[in-house]
Amino acid sequence: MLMRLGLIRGIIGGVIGVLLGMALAMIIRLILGMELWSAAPVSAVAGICGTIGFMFGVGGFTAWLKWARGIEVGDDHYHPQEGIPEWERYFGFDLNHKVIGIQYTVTAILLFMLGGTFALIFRTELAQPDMQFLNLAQYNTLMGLHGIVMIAAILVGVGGMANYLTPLMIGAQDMAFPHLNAFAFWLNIPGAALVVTSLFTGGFDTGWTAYPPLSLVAPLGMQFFLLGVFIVGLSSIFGSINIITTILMMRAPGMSLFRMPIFVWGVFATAIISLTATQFIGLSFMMILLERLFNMPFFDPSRGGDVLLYQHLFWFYSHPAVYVFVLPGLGIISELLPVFARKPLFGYKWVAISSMAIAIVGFLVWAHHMFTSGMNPGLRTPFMMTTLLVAVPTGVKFFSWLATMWGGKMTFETPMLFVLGAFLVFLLGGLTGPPNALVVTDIQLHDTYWVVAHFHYTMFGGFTFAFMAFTYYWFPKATGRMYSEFWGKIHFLFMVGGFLTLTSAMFRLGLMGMRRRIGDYDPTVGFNNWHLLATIGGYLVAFSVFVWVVNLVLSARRGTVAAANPWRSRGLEWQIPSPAPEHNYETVPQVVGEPYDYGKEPAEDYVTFNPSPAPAGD
Amino acid sequence: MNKFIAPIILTILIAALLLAFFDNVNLLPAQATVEAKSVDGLFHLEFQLISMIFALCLGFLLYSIVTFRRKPGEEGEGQHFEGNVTLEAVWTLIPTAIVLVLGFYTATQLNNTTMADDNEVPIHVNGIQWSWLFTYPMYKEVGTVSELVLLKDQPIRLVITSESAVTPVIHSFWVPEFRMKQDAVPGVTSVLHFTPDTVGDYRVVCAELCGTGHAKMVAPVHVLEQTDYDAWLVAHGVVMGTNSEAQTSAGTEATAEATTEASTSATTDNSAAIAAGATLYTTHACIGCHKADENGTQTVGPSWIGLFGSEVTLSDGTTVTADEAYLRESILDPSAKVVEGFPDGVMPHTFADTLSEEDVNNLIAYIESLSGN
Repeated sequence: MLMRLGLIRGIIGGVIGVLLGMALAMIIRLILGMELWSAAPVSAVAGICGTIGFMFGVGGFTAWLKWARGIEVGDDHYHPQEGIPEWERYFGFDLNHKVIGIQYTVTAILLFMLGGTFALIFRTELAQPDMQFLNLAQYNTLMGLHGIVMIAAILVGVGGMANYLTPLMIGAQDMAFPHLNAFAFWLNIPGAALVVTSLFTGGFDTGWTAYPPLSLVAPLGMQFFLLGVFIVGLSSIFGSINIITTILMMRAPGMSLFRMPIFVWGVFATAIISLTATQFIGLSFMMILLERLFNMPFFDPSRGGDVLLYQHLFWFYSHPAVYVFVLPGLGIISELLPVFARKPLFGYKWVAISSMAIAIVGFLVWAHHMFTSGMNPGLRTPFMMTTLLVAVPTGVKFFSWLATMWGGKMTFETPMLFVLGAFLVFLLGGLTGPPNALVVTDIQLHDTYWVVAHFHYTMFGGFTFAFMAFTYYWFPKATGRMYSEFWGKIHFLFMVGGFLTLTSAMFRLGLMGMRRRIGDYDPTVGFNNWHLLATIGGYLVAFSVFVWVVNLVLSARRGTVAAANPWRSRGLEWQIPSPAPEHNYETVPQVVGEPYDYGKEPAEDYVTFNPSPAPAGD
Repeated sequence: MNKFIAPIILTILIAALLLAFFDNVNLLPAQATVEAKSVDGLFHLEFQLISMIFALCLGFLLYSIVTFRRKPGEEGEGQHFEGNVTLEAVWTLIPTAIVLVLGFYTATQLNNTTMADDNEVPIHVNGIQWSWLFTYPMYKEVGTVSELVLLKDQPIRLVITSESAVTPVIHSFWVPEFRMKQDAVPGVTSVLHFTPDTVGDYRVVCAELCGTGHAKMVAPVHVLEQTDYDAWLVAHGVVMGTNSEAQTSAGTEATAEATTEASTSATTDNSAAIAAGATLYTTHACIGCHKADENGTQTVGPSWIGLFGSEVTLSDGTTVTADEAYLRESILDPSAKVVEGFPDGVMPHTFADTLSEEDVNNLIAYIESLSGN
């Protein structure tokens, strides 16, 4: 029975891959006349081969290899199999985008809890000055792991939202490339495993940014971190190819680009960034690996290398990446506000175009992370100007959201509360950005807790709150049941209270001069109480996450059965039964109107399921 | 129009509260340079702008939540309007204008706060894992010191880099009270210009994650009046009013503060070895982790003050006497015996390759001299 689960077969394949990889590396070393065992190269090959082994075991290559040999591939992976319980689909290589979307979403929540646990551990250590139960090296590793595990969680969470919703929202049966879709999801499992392995192989003391030269001399854990992120990035690239193709090629008849649900615009902009920028973080991490393993001196100034080159390559991805994290979440806000305000989205086209504008301008701002780095000082002013321009399309979104609420008839169910929370938190995240953009004040704020607080606001507002709204709002669509509204509101209250406590203390600390990424601080500077407050806030957030997860798990089993369209939404996905049928739409939906025409007199449909084309002229 | 009056009043109220807060509460550290005033002026402007935009959004949000909520028993949908091009254009163009003006203003401020001064005095800053080392090109006798001493109102040019015989990595020079920060990057020389204008004791910290001891990479900064500054120079071997070149003797280039103390307490036949060891102490970056100041400061590694001949408790609970053999082993194979309370794996294992037999002897002689026996 266990062997039927793709996950178990994947793990076995992974172990075999690791062993074969070690053998391969040692044989090569033997042939080259080197000492048989050397931890770094042997474990690097083992990590790569383990990933390939896992993907073989889970079934990622099965269909492709059959196609390559000209063998007919059945659609076994497409339908729930006779006599096999439904839950097993979620532990194997399943091609249905809704299964994959839920796999992504659950994996994201698990990674969140892991990353949050790392944060709680070192947040507890920071509650008081001096080292209580961690040493400085352990602090650095936990802090770096918190960062990268949360980034992976967000990327996987974005994958969850995009994969579950995009085909449903545009009236498609599935994603354009179902095999690639499943393959991209399963890559995250060995990727995350490699990242976590760094904890047991000496850790790494560079934070998630992995700046050389420090990352060149960091312990073995660094190498697992680099490999793991590389593989998660590969998943991101595959996923974005799929999303772009699906959106461009598979929309229902009548759904022009400007009739797409606004969330799909956000996902589209995100996928363009992921597809074109992820290579740069892969490249920069690969260069560090090559310098570590083969002594290629890319970043060694004494041998013609350049330390700052890395930072340019790294931020060329890693700044646009923050828009990968937030654009789908901002799409969720734009998507849900009209439903709960019972009004059209104000300025639909402006909101849609603003996502694309953010994506494009986002490529031109990377060096604002480097104002104090020692790059040519003349570059600082141009990068400050481009950075400031990001405020303009972001402002368009905020004002359009306010105008969407104006004159509405709002109700405040849990998803709407999280949307309003996201609005408030992202607003504060956005407004605390310009002091970092403006060079003069950034020189003071760079690498302080101000920056830490600022990006936590943008990530929580742009992603976390929106992702939580997503899990509540589409919960009936995915499970056919309703979550508990009471516990949803408890979750919201603790989340908002805890988060604001945590991050307000961080802002205060940053302005006082608290550096980021230090495991210990001077007890005489006045930081102590603020750190204690931040730690209390952190525990409140952790409690709220616990409430969230328990609510979702228990409601999935025992919640009241949901109506097909509990939100009276106009969206395509709510016009079909809940949970959504295996192939989404029995008949091809015809899009005949605007997505958010709530309150229009006389009422007009967004979509009809009439097999004959809708009469022209609406 | 009257339906806009309430949210606008709410906006003004929130803005007034926030502006009053930022006018009356100082959130930033003390100011200790001329430049800090301009920086804080911009901070204040930013806080005011943030207050006003936040108040605008929050005012309308709160008003909408109260006014445009579905009342009990109410049916029907919201008002149907899809957009307004004029409004969209207004809230695209006005923010564009604001950020452009703000950008140009900041660019001029940046120019003012980073300008070189004709009278400025150079000081070299080197970041190593995990200490700051300062040298004064105008006063070679001072050698390399691990505190930054500045003269009030004297314009300074800091020349910042990261050079180390062990592992040069990126550090970042930051004194919060100076409002100045600059990374120390291997292979890059960066410059900071500023004028300290307030006497006091400050701290330079490392702001860029630089490894295990990053949190401990802190050095004292003193801004002194002329008389105190001169006294400090004299105490560090500078003879005032004469040509300082004449005072320079062989080997003092990198002589640490501790050397002077050490050589006085040591026997003469040993003093050459001790002086050589003191030089190695700095050049091979021992100073990064092992302090040799009078306070016996413990940072990332054990202090060398009083170390020689003392009983040392190891991480496995056993004790050992810190004699010559122990010190030699600990230099060449740091993981063999790890002192309790200090992490293993931090000290490089490369000294067996980079230090000669004589170097190790000199270092041990220097360590012995710090025990005062």
